[in-house]
Amino acid sequence: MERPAAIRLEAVEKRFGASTAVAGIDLTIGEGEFFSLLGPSGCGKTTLLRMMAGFENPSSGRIAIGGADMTGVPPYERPVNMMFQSYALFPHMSVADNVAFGLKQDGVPRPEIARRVAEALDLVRMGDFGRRRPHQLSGGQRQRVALARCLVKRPKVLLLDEPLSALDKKLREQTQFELVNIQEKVGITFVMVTHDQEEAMTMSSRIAVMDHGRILQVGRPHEVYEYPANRFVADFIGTANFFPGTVLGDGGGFAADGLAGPLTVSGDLPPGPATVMVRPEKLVMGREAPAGAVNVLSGTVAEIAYLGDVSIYHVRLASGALVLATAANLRHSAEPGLTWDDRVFLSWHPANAVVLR
Amino acid sequence: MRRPVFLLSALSFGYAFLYAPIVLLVAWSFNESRVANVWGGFSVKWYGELLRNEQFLEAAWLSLQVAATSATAALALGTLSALALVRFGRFRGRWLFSGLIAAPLVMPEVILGLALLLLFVALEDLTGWPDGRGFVTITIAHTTVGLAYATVVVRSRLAQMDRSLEEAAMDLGARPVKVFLVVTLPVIAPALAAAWLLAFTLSLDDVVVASFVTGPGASTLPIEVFASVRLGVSPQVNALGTLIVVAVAAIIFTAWRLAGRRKP
Amino acid sequence: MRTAGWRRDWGRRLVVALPFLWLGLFFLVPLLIVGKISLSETRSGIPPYEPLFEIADGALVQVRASLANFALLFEDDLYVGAYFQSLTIAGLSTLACLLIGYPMALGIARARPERRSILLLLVILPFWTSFLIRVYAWMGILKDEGLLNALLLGLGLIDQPLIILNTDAAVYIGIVYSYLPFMVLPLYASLEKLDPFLLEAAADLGAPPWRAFLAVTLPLSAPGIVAGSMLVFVPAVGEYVIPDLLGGGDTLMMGKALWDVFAQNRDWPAAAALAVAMLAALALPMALFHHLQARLDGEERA
Repeated sequence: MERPAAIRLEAVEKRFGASTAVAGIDLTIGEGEFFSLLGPSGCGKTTLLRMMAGFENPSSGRIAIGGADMTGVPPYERPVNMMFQSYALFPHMSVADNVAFGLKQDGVPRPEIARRVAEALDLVRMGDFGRRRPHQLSGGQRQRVALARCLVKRPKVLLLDEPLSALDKKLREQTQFELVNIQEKVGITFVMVTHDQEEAMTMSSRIAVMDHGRILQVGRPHEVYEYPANRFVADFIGTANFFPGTVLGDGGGFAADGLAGPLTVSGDLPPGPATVMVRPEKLVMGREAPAGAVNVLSGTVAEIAYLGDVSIYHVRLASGALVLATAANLRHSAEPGLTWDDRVFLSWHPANAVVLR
Repeated sequence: MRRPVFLLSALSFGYAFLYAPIVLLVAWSFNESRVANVWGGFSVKWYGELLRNEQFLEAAWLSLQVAATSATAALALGTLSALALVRFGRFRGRWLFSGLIAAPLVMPEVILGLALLLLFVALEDLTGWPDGRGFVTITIAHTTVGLAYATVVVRSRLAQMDRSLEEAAMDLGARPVKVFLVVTLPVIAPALAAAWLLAFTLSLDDVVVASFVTGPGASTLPIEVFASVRLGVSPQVNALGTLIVVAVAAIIFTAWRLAGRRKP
Repeated sequence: MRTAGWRRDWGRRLVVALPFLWLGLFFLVPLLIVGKISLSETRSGIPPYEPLFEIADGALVQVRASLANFALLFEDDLYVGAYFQSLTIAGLSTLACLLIGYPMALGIARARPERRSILLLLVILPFWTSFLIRVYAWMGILKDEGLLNALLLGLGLIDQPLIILNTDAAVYIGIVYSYLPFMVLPLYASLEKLDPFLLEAAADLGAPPWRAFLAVTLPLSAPGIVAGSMLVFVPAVGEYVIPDLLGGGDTLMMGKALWDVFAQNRDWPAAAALAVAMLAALALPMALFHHLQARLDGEERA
């Protein structure tokens, strides 16, 4: 028999008065996944998370956790635990008491509580901090205690609300790996809300990109990045160059607005208006027109953003449009290669572009 | 900073204004002479007389009992009101409810005193309770006023509290009542203490409302003091005032030190 | 899974009901009774008023409502005078509290953060000691043989003692003194929330300090000004102790008038009518206060 999905949302909607925060969402999250809800602020991802936790009730639709219908079930009766953005550690209790809190509510006998608390704290490498109070801990330490407090209850699903937003960059990177490792070790389904696409890409097994209460695309990081379903997703994740125009039928290629010649696109596409999307790192850049290449554009370097490992070149075409191209700084030399006002040629292989409608 | 001189002198004047009578009170309480502005030498005889004054002592005892009882009742009811106003969002009758809670804060005491007396008279007429006025009626009156103040204090702390603490507790399996007892109350504890003390002080200090609703034989300390000072100079009252100032200063100082140690 | 919701609803109703019922019985009903009695006629006996309705044989025989008490208030110069005097004294005292209290609140709000709590504590401390006894202390200061006169005479600033006690002036001083903390605290609360960067922005844009104060600080502290003024003005109108101890024979304020009518004349209905008149006069400021509280309400729940 097939195991039920960790979480299943059917036609879930949430309205606050006249405004709709979440509009008709269908989603299935499998067991053991590290799933991210990604989107700009106000897109409804936090509302969705809170509905899974039980702090909001859907205006319509069903939520099932582990196969059991959870509509109307209050948070203290759900097999789900949430790690809050502010960590929400009880200030008047020690670290150990904080972690033990959930177990006490379940009526777990004392010796077992002590054992499981120690186990959970060791898992997050806070084993020596049992007697401390939250105000004596740093931000990163508090977060680990909050995580231990959730994990100790062995929930079916762990919900994380922007877990890394309060941390500085270095700590964030470190914690990203820690979280993924813990998830793999423990095997619990994680559902994370974030507005940081790098974070979502690094940590998740699957991502749902949301905007204005709707899910625009669900897929693995690779899929969402290389094969975005629409313009919003393409633009939200990473950087993109867009060439709006028309697909000409019968192998005529793609007539891009403002460009001289047609572009070559791969695949058998029905004619009609569309947009060709190319990621900056897929563009090949050089001082001379590449021989025998298709999709060649020429322009001048208007801006260079030097990031150390890569440089982003803003190239202005004859039509006035700006195209972004990324090139790794392969050579360790003080002299830059291309520089401002240089004349360059850009090209890409048709298979590296995506046609969006 | 701009104009520190002006603000500094305003503050100094203000504090001097506030504390001059208190300082004088303390000075006079040790004055041998009855006449306030003639220094007759240092003496503690007024304190002695005060402690032998049966009337004052009895009244003080009654006042303390009323204050403690009404403060506790006011805190309980005030916490419930604060909870309703801060956590329950829009509910039926909220406008009336918040109006009723806020009104005693600004209502003149004479009106409150008269109104409650009329109520007690009517109730006694109708049902036989309260049987005569005294401890019970004063306590009820003070609870009603204290309730309004307690609500303000608790409410402000409750509103500032991080709601995700309560959500986290629920998420971890605690039912709402448990959450309130185990998470909310401890976190707002300082506000609860402050609210109790506030209601206690107001009760201990009230002369107008108590005068209206009291009955024969039940005299509170403020009523006795008021009667005494209306007649003229009463050095025992200076001594009493000084004792109160010292007691309050000691309590506030201790509370402040405790609060300082609690903070991260 | 209905149980959790059901229990929660009843739990909530209980939480609201307990204080609601208490206030209903011990605050609202008494006020309604005051209204009712204000329409009754006086008589001697216990209680000293005629019942409003007379019921005999199960039928309503007579309704003895009369506006005589209110007419009395309008006719007797005493009451009309008391009414206006109360409003004047309370109003001017509120203004004085504002003028003294605002710089204080501003000074505390601008002080260094570590100092602020102790400064506030010092403002609150007098409030926690006996109000009655402190007013009594003012008696000792302001009377003819009192400290103030002794000081001024001693310094040679005057050669006859100033008559302050038992006049309106003493009442003003008493009210301002007693109610000052009630003005300072809400003002401080509102000034403390002021973003200091706003003033820096004003300075950066060329406004001298006094301009910045008038254009930025003052308007933004308006809620504090209103709250503080309400907390001083409304109770001050009904003050009894201060006019009694510090005021003179011709200082008649409504609170004292009510007490005298009630205790000395034993005229409960007239006292009730006076109370109704006071409430009517104060209805507007009280509603304003409630409206402010309701707005803070909205901010809290946001």
